[in-house]
Amino acid sequence: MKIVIVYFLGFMFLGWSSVAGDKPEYAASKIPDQLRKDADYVIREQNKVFRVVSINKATLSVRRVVTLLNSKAAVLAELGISYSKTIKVKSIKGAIYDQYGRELDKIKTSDIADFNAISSGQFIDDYRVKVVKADIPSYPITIEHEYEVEYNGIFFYPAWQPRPGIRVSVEHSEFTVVTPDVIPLRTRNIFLDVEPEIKVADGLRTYRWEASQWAAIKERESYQPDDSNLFPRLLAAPATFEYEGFKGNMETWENFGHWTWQLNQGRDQLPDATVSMLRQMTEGLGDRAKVERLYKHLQAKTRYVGIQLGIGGLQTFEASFVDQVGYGDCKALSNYMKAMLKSVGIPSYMAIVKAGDLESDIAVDFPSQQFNHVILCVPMTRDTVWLECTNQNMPFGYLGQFTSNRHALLITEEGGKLVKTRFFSPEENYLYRNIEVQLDENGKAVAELETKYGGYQSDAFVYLKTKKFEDQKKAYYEMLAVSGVEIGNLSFSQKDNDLGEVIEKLSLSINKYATVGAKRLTFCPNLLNKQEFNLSDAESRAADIEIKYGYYDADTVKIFLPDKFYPEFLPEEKMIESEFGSYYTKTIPGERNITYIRIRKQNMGLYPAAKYREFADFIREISKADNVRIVLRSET
Amino acid sequence: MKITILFLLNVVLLASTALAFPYNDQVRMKFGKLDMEELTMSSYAQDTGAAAVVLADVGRTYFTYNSSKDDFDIIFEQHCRIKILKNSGYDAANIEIPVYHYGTAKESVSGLKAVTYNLVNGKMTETKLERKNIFDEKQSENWDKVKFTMPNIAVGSVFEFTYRIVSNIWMIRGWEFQRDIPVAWSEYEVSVPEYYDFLKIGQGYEPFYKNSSRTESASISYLNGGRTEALLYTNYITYWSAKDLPGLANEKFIATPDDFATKVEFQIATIKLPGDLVRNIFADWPEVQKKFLEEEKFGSQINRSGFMKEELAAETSDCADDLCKAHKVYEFIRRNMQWNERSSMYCETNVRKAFTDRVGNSAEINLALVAALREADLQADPVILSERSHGRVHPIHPLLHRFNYVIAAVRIGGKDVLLDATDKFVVFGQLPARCLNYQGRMISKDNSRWINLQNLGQSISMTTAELTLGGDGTFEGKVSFSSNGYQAVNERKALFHSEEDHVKRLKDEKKNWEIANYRFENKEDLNKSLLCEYDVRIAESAQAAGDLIFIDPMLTEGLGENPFKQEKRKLPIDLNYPTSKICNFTINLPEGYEIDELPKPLMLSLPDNSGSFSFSISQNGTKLTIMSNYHVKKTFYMPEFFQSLKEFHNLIVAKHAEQIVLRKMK
Repeated sequence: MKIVIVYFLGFMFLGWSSVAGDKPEYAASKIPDQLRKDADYVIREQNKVFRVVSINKATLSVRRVVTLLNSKAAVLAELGISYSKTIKVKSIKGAIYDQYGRELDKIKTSDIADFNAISSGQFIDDYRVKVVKADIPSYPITIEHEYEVEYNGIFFYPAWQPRPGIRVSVEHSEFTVVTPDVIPLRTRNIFLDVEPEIKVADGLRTYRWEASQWAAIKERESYQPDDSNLFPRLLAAPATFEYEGFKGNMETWENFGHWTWQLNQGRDQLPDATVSMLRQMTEGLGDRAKVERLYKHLQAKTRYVGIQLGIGGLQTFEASFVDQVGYGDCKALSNYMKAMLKSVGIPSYMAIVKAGDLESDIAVDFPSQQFNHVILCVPMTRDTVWLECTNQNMPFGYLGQFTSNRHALLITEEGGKLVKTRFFSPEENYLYRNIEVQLDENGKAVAELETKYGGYQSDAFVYLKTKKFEDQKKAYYEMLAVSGVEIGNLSFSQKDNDLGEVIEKLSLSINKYATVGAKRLTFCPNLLNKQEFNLSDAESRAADIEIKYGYYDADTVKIFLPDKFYPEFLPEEKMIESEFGSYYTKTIPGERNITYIRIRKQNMGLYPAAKYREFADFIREISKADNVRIVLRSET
Repeated sequence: MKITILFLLNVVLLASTALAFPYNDQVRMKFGKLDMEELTMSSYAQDTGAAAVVLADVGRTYFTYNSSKDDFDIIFEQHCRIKILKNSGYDAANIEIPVYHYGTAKESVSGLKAVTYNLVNGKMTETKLERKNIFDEKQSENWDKVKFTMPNIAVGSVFEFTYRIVSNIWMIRGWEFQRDIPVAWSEYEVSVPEYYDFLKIGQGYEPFYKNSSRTESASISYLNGGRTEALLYTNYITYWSAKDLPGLANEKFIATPDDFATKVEFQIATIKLPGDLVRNIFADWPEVQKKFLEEEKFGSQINRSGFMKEELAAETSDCADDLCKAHKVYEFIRRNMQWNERSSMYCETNVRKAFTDRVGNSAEINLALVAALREADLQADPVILSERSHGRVHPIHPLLHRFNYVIAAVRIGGKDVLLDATDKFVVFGQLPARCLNYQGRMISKDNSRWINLQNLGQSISMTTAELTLGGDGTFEGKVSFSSNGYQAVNERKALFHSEEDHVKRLKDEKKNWEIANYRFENKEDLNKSLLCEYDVRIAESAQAAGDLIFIDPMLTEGLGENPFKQEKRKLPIDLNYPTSKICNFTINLPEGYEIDELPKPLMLSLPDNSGSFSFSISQNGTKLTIMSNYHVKKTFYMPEFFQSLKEFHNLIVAKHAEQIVLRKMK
């Protein structure tokens, strides 16, 4: 699904210049207490130097010394360096030291393993990885790594994130960029409060950022924003660059997009026979119907195969190639769809995005390579149709959590244009459910359910509908958090619209739905939609709260009572209003039946950390109300 | 008359179904020739939901004489045809052929042909795979892959591919009849000259359709001092076929799905070239054991303990008996060697180096343990086995690639005690849960045999609570949780990092409990129960409703969900180890309330008595005592037993959900 880009965050490691014998300064006892606190490992020294030689050549040398305090940091014993046709590994060195700083072992060339590094979801790409792994006899232990890689062709610069995650502290970390005067450096601080020291000499500019004595962050908090003040980082990017012979400038989105356009220009030609076939196929249809017809054709004719070769996975296959073989990656399939639309006179644009379920947005004010996926944007007279071209089962015009509600860069002949993909409001991510339950005196319930899902709540069905019936049923058995349940009928269908609406019909029988006492039946009228309380009772909250997904649920459950039972206790009406959303339930007694109504709205947004208590209480109160039970008593 | 017609109609229908899958041992598949019905079929009758089906998969291995090097080459050929029925089956069109090489020994792929067939406007079209779309990929040091993806795949496509692999490695490729998609027909034929014997092992949950063998005479001609001579010999041919195999599904409660796949595997046993002695390679267990004991990375290691002699002597100097010595030696190795998390039955370096480095793989640690036990004059031997994730070993034959691990066995008082020093949290004589897999093989000079690795050890937990319920439905009191066996291993693993981590885990599990003043006992002493005690306040386990209070007698400790959810079960159920969970709660009732309803006691047992459950509540004035005892003693059940397990747990869930009702006295 993704363009493979080697991100330099977190994943890259370091090395050093003089590996000789013992290093008493590495002794674990020299780590200050405030850096030990809540840390599984300590970055003792990290020194990352990025040297720009020309617009298409650079080197990165990294030296890193880490002390692992316990086995939770064991993964740090492994260093992996990705390389490809354009990224060459020049050297790898390293050694390990015991807790007193005595050298235990050195990394030898024979310790370096070489693997292909095909990322998940990819079939073939250019990336390989060199891996060295140290064995750890006991903790604490200190590992020193030093390596150098060379870039032949530049499209992005490494980033710097002194504290790469939770439970790591930083004794000292620095990042240096050396660049010729004529190749200006661009940077952007993300929650980072460090300014560089700049030196100018001999036509070179040297920027140096430094961070010391950063304590560890104890844990990732729930609903924590991806870009958070807890993990400040520095983005860096070139102004002018050259990659595989294509020169470009990325100071503006316009230029960035223009370069991408050039790279892919003219690759949307289709054979004449295909063009006339497509014209015939769409003859007499309106524009929107044409787009839909061709999208259906794309879904029937092609499939996604992750093949990322040549030009760093940035240049698409020719549309004619996809026409011939019927497969491609996200670029190739979007480009193919674009070519088909073009052949019937409908313009469209490749749109590059940072994809991922509920992924955070790009840094909008810092034009640079921050993307990993391509979709297609088709402007229509009244609105815009967005097409995900890698999925044969996606409803026409629907973008789920993977690409919606974020910025995308349209690639046009005039250059890049930053636009937003479709936004889904809480009311558009809906669930409307009607249940009728017949309860008997043994506590058994027979329920008929009809549910409509829209927006994000329909996402799971895009995949589920490709499964065979037995497997769908199996998935439902796992999903239904109800014991003793048997699924009778099950069917669902998904509409081809931009909400991907699903209508599901389900019948269930539940053996011990109500608990049976000598005189009473008790049960929870909220059959399937209980709020779980899954927040920690943190005394202090450091990160802001980000709720990425708003939704709206309306459940109605009508329970038909067994003969000779009458309600002894009905829960009170409940209403909760808060800035995080609202909740309402009511139980209405009827003639031999009880109707339970539940309406829950969850807002989305960013809330300050200080509101955490309030948010937790909101969820806790709902969770409590969702578990309230009805008591029936026998007349006899 | 009517009956006859219906009968005929039936015959016709049957015939047409059969036509869609034309291949068997009589009707052979030919490359490039396919029946129109293979293209028009829209579902597979045996599994109408299937996303793709293998119509036929035909493989063959045979030996040909290569005069240029005066030796045999081993040739493997595969021809496979697949039908795509849904777009979720597209992955079947991505093909990978792994190829091995080691020094001059190598396998090479040739003659690769692949074609996709589609039905376009009622006519069959062909798209050939082009050479430029075939990729050679270096996978790791000894493995490469030939990869390709079929062109023009759509719902309804049929594609086929064929290739051969020429090899000079004494290895016959195994054959997997079953895979994730259903297979209508699969066959494999292996032809071996009389000079070689291979172990041939077939396994599978689905039976073979045919399994036969025959012989065939063959000859080779070669130059001998300028004269051409002929050598006559016999090929031994074995043939397996299977039909209508369902797709392999991953299920819960199995060690690994590989255990159930229908497949055949091979291993070189003996070589008997003309004019040469018969050379046994891996023929039978006695032969294999001998090799193991001579092997530099295995047997040679267990007699080299000189380097730890002095330390060991000091360690065991106070011991009067074997048990004490074994204990001390085991602790000595555990204390001095850290596992690098690599599973192997061979040393990567050697025991001495690993001991000096204080870190090693499973073989280096456990062979060091065997060596150390022997150094202490104990009778100790290595036992090779396969971890659960690595699949079961063969019950009879020495199929070595099925093993991946080694532990130590020490003889004490006439009994074998099994020891694994890689795990810091198991007690003496308890194996890590991942090692409890069917059986292992003891490798010994004169005492080799199978060692049972099932139903060893158990997991025990006991929760006791003394609580007081307030009129507002809040419980307050003390909880004590004690664990033994595998439960204690898991708890101690969590505790190992810090008590804080453990308590965090506890709080995550019990969201609505306010926990304070926790303390642990026997954290370090593995031979005693691990005890965790704390004060608790629980607000959510009792609800006031008018004049009534409804109490969940199990608090949040009841079985809330049945782990056995599936409707049907095809595979056996493997629970790894026996489990006991005991709860014993005392609740002091609030003043001014009386009991209105109490759940009735329940006693259950599984049909074969391998599991039991009892539940009771007794009242003594204002005090209620709640007892729940759950035991499942067996670990391996046949699939027919699934419904019993499911019902057993359903009844427990229902019983645990029953509530106590209190009423306010008037």
